[in-house]
Amino acid sequence: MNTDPNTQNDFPVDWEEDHYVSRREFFKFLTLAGGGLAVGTVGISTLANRPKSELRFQPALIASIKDLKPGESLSFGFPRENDMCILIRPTESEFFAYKQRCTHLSCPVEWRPDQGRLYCPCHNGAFAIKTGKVLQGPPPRPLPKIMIERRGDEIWAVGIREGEEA
Amino acid sequence: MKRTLQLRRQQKSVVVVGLILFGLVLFILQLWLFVTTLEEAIAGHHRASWATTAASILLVGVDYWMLRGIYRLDRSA
Repeated sequence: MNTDPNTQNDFPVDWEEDHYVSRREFFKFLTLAGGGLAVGTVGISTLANRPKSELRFQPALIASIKDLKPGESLSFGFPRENDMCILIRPTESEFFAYKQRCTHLSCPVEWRPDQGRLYCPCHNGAFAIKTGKVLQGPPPRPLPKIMIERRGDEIWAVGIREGEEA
Repeated sequence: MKRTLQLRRQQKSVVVVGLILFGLVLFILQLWLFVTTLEEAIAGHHRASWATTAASILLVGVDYWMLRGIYRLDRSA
């Protein structure tokens, strides 16, 4: 409390009183903060539930069909040279392409023809060859799929589709 | 009479403190729901997100209801 008579009129508000927060004000603040958290939760849920995106890029030639025998795979860069992807030909007529980075800690996944799945050697993660879905291990979500087109004897990459929930 | 009023005021004070403590618990719950939703979203899951959102909105509703209760208590004092 300001007890100096010379300044009491100039500074009538007590410092401690000025910083006093009533229980009502505190609860109001708590409710507002809770409201903020609820709005944030709604926003995150909306973002998490948005439709999975398909990104189209400039088509890029991956390989000729003759270069890839059934049961084999090859690595390629798409959409940029350094974005490693993997093209797999499990059977004579089927082709699948995925991003080669594991969705766990970005280790490169490899094609295991004997098991018919993509395998991450870092933490024993595995992905289904047809869908890219997680079959085992710690990866939290499927591998992003590379959209491919067959043009004559050639396989072209045209876009990327985010993986659906694991 | 004066003694009764004083007792009533003390009771109200206890109720307000109780409401504030309960409000704090609800706030911590909301914080946990927010973090859980965020973690799930980052991990690419969205199964639980609407449930956590509904729970969070419900908790804000309870908070607001209690805040109105505190104001009502003040007015009746």
